[in-house]
Amino acid sequence: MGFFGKLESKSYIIGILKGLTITGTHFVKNLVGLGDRPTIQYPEQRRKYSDKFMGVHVLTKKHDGEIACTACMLCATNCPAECIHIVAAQSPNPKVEKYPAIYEIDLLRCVFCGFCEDACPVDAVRMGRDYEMAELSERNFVVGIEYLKDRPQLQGKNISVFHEPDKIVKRGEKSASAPAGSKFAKAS
Amino acid sequence: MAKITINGKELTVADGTNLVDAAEEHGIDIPHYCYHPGLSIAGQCRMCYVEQEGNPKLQVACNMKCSDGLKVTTDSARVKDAVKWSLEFHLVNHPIDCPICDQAGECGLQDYYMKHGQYQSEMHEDKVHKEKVVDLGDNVVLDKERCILCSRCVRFTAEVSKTNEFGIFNRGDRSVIGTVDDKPLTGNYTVNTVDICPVGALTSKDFRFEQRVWFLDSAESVCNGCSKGCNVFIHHKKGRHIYRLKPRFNETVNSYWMCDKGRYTYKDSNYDRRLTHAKLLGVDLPHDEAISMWAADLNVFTSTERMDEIGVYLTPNQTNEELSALLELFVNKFKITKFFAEDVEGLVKADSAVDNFLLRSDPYPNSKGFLETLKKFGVKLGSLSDMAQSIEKQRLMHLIFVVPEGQRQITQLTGVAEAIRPDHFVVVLTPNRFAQELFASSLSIPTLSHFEKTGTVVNHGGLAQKISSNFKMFKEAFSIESVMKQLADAQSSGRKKERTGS
Repeated sequence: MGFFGKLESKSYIIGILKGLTITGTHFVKNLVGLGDRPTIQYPEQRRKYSDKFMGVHVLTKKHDGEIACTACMLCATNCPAECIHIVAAQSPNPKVEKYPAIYEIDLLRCVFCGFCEDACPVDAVRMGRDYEMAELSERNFVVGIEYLKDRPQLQGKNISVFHEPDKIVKRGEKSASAPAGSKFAKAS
Repeated sequence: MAKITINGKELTVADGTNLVDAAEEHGIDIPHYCYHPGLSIAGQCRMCYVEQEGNPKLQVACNMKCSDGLKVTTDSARVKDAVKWSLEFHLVNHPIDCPICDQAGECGLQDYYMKHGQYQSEMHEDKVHKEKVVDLGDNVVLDKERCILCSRCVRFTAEVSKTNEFGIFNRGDRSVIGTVDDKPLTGNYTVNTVDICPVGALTSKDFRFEQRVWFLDSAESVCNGCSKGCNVFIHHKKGRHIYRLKPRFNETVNSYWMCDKGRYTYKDSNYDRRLTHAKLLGVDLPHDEAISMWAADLNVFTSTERMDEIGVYLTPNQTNEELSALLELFVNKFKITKFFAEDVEGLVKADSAVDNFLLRSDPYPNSKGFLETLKKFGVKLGSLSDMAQSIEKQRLMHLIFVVPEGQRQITQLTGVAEAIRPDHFVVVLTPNRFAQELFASSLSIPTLSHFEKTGTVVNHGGLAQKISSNFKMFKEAFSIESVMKQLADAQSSGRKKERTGS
């Protein structure tokens, strides 16, 4: 043992001091407001997300207020998480043949991949911007047509809830004709 | 036999076979819409073009009979081009509303576009719009826009169902298919027009918007609507819900067709009409407990030699294997002598085709097999009125009802059910929720419905047909064979306990 044993048993002190220096520096910097803090004062402060952010879905509406969805179930077919449940029915509107009597998305199952948006042939389902979800019951995360098309969070957000069939881009045409939010432009 | 050459390959086929069929037999696909092997030849669709050696013009394969020395090419550039632009003509006025069309997924236009089309459309004119959602009676919906005028339905009503309802009206691009004044279809064979429609012009009302076809799985079975025993495909989703029946080709029984009545027999197999749990007095109980309770009560009768107080009700809905399993246990082991059923012999004697086509008057799929199996076990049948009387006079104390799905037995058994008093022990083996409700005080054990069964049924002509569906809708429902095995096990273990006194 002797000398070497003693040194060995005390060597951790240097490590501790080094660590404490880093912690202390950050502590002092943050205390006087010089630090580059990664945290923000949520919910008063919010981050700006990309326009490509994929949050809770939106069911688009036609200008008469009816939803654009035709219940073709391509979104449900394409969904890797199997979270979309649709029951199709004959529409009460004589001009519309088929519509979804039930359109439910289980947000807890959903992986927000956006495949439903890709699959939709009529631009009826889009990925929205909302990401704040808190409910008391699991059942409340299964959201239906009313929530998906008319929830209060959609007001004033950077997303159009209106179905725009004239902006659907045909194959071969230049997509430059599509508006700034060309994310929603579809190849038909 | 004739030796023909298709695409340079020498094939031997039966003389006079249609070229489309002969090619399909040998794995060569000739696209076609209007040709149907069960109907006459129209040559409407011009999709089955082939190049025949020695003939300067392209020929339609559906109108060619195979004979020695026939040489055709189906894959030359000329043929491919012709087929491609024939297809564009079909799609000129087609609305392409696949998202709302029930045919999507099994549509001839979709399939052939991906296989033979893939063109950039050269049409700049607006599409001609026609009537959509035309109601044609209880079973069929017509969409005139989607029709490609192949005339299969016209020929079906003219040649097979002989109702002569469909026709092609107007000329040129205003031609539409329809019935006179859009009158509803009549007869019992209307949904066959939906099956043969290669596009979504005729769709089934029952299946309308119910499910997309690519979600459906298929199983093979035999219809249980009558003694004809039409071969069917069951289209179900993951074995949880049956959505429709489709006819399966069998030359000796039903050819390509089936009747509307038989088509809807699947509804009795679905959740809302099924007994999904073993029940005693209407309260759920575990399956094992139900079996052991039944075995215990049977033991009381066997140990006191009161087997003549046990009555069994059977129907010819059971397969031969189920009946053998039932009778093996009841007759050979328990020595039960009293069996009751509807007058099956009378039904078999009076059996005839109701409308000179498929549907027969005997409502049971296995009457012949039923009578044969009973004969093998030496069982004599009593009538239902006998049964009701014996129950009333307390001569029968332990009653076993094997009730299939459907309403027929429910109405038949109301008289018997009324005679039952609280001191009778009633066991109902059934997939049918209504049977449990009829015998409210019974011990009900769920069994498989017809479309989940595996076994043999014998049709009116004595043809034994195998059914093997290979799916099960509820884990609580067992086949009658396995219920019988469980009962035998429970009964023998119960007797052992009695003997050892534990």
